[in-house]
Amino acid sequence: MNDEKIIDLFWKRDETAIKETDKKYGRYCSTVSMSILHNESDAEECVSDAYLSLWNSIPPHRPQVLRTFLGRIVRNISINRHKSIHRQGYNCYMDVSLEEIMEELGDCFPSDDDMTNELSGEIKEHLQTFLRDQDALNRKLFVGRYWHNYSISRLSAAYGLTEGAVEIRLRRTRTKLKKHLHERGISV
Amino acid sequence: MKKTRYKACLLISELDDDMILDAELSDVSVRVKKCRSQRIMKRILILAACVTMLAVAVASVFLSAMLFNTGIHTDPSNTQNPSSLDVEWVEDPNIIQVQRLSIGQSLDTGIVSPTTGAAVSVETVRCWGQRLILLSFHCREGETITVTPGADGALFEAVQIEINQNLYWSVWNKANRRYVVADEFLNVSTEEAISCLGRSVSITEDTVLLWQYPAVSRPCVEDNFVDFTVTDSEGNITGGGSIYIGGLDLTTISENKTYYGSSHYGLNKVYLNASYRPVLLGAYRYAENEKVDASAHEKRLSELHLQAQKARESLFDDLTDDYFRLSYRVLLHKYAADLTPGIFTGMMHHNMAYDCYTYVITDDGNKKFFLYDGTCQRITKWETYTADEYGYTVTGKLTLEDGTVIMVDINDPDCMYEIIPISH
Repeated sequence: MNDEKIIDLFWKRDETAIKETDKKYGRYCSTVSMSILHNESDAEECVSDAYLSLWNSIPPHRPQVLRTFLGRIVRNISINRHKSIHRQGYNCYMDVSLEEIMEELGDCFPSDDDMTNELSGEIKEHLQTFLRDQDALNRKLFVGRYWHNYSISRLSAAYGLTEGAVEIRLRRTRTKLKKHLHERGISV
Repeated sequence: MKKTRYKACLLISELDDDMILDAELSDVSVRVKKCRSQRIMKRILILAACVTMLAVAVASVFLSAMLFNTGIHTDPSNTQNPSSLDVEWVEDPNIIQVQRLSIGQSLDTGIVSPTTGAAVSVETVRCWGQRLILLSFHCREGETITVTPGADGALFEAVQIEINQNLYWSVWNKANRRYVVADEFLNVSTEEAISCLGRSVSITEDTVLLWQYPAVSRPCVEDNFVDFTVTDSEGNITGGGSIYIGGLDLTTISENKTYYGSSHYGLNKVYLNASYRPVLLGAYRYAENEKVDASAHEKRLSELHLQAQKARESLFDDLTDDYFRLSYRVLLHKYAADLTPGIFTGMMHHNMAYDCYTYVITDDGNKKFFLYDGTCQRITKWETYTADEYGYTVTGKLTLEDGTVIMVDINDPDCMYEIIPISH
C-alpha cells in the first residue's frame, strides 16, 4: 500500500493503518530504534510507542514523507528511552552507541543542560542551513552518522572511503559546524 | 558528571526529509547477503576456471602423448616418409581434437566442440604438400559447432554438415571464429552470409556462386584459400567451402575479376543439386596405382599449369562475354596409398574423371576438352552425370569432336583431386 493510502487510513481513524504501517515500515522502524538502543525488546516497545504517536499525530498532520516522519518519531522515542533508562549502548560492528554519537556531537552542540528550547530551535535552523551548504558526500556522512547512527566502518564501505577518511571528514564537518554556530553567537 | 547531548540528537532528528533519505544506506542484512553471494559466486568462478584449466592441461598432455606415439610431430628432414604424416584422431563425445599439418611445419591444433549428440567424422586429405583435415558434422538443424583455432589461428578450411541428406558446407566466419551451421546459417541473407567471408559476391540464376576478389594485388593470400558458398536458384545456400589456389602464380589472377566458384576444396560426398553445373574443368590423371615421385609430380604440375594457361588463352579467344564466369578445375589424379609425401596430391571429387586428361566444360554447353599435350577439342556431347541421392555415384560421358568418348565414372573414395581456379 502506498503512503498516501496509509495516511488516508489514519485520517479515517481506521486501525488497519497501524497494520499497514507496520507491514511496510516495521523493519525500518526496528532498525532505527535498534541503532540507538541495541536492545530488541526496548526497540520493539519504542516502535509500538511510535505507532501510537503516529496515530495521535495523524491527523492533524499529513506528512509529506511517511518514512522519515515515522523515522523521526521512532528515533526520538528511542533516544528518550535511552535517556530514561540510562542504559549503556552496545557496541556493534554495524552501528554505534548513542554515547559515542553524543560524545562526537559534543564538539559542536551545547550540552542538554545548556540547550534551551529557544536555543534548540535556533540551532535547528542553523544546522539545516549549514548542512545544505556542505558537499553531498560530507552531508551524507554527517546525516548517516548522526541521524542513522551508522558505524564508521559501514560508512567507509558504503562510500568507498577508508575509515580514517570518514572520521576526518566527519571531524572537519563538526569543526566547521562549530565555527558556523560560533559565528552566529552559539558556543558549546 | 558527563554531559549528555540527547537534545542534540533529538535536534538532528528534525533534519529535512531529503537529507535523511539521501543519507540512508541499504539494509545491512541484504548488503551482507549480497556480499556473501558475491563471494560465493567468485569462488564458483575460480573453481570453474581451475577445473577448466585442469581439463585443458589433461587434454593437452593426452594429445601430446598421442601425437608422440603416432609420430605426428613433423620432422622437416623426413618429408619422404609417409608414415611420419599419419594423423591420429583423438575423438571424444564432446571434444574433437583436430589438426592441420603441413610438411616441414609445426603442428597446428585446434579443438572442436560439437554440440552434444553431433556425430563427427574426420577425414584426412592431402593437398599441395599439406595434409588437411576434414571434419564432417552430422548434426541437427539449429546446432552450432564451435571451433577453437590453434595458437596460430590455423584452422580447417572445410567443414561439411549433412542435414536431411543434404550436405552443407559451413562457412568459416573469421569474425567470431565459428562455423555457422544449419538453420542459423541457412536463414541468414546472402549478404550476411557473404559478409562473413569478407568478399563481395553475387548469385547467378544458374545457382553458381560468383565471388569477386577484393581490390588487392594478391587476392586471398590468406592460406591461399578462397572461401565461397553455393546457392540454388532461390538463393538458399546449399554449399560452400574453400578453393585452394596455392601453387598458382597468383599474379595471373586479375584484380577485381569475378570468378566462378564451381567446386569445393576438400569436397567429398557432396550432394549436388540438379541445377548445379560445373563450368570449366581441367583434369589430369595418373594411372591407377601408378607410382610417381615428387619430381615427376612437380614436372607434371608445371606442365599442367602451362596447359591450363593454354586452355585459358584458347578458350577465351573464342568465348563470348558470357564466359567471363568461368572457373577452372584442374588436375585430377588417382590417390595411391604409397604416394611419396610432399608430392602434389589432392582430394577426390566425384564429378571428375580420372581416366581423362584435361578438359574444360563451359556452362553454355560449349564444352571443350583439353588434351594433355595442350591441344583442344570441342566436346560435342556431354551426357550429364547422375548421382544417387547421396551423391556417391556419378557417371558422365564426354564425346569429343574427333569422336573420342570419355567416360566419367567416379565412385572411388580414394581418388583425390586438386582445384586450381584461374581467371580468364
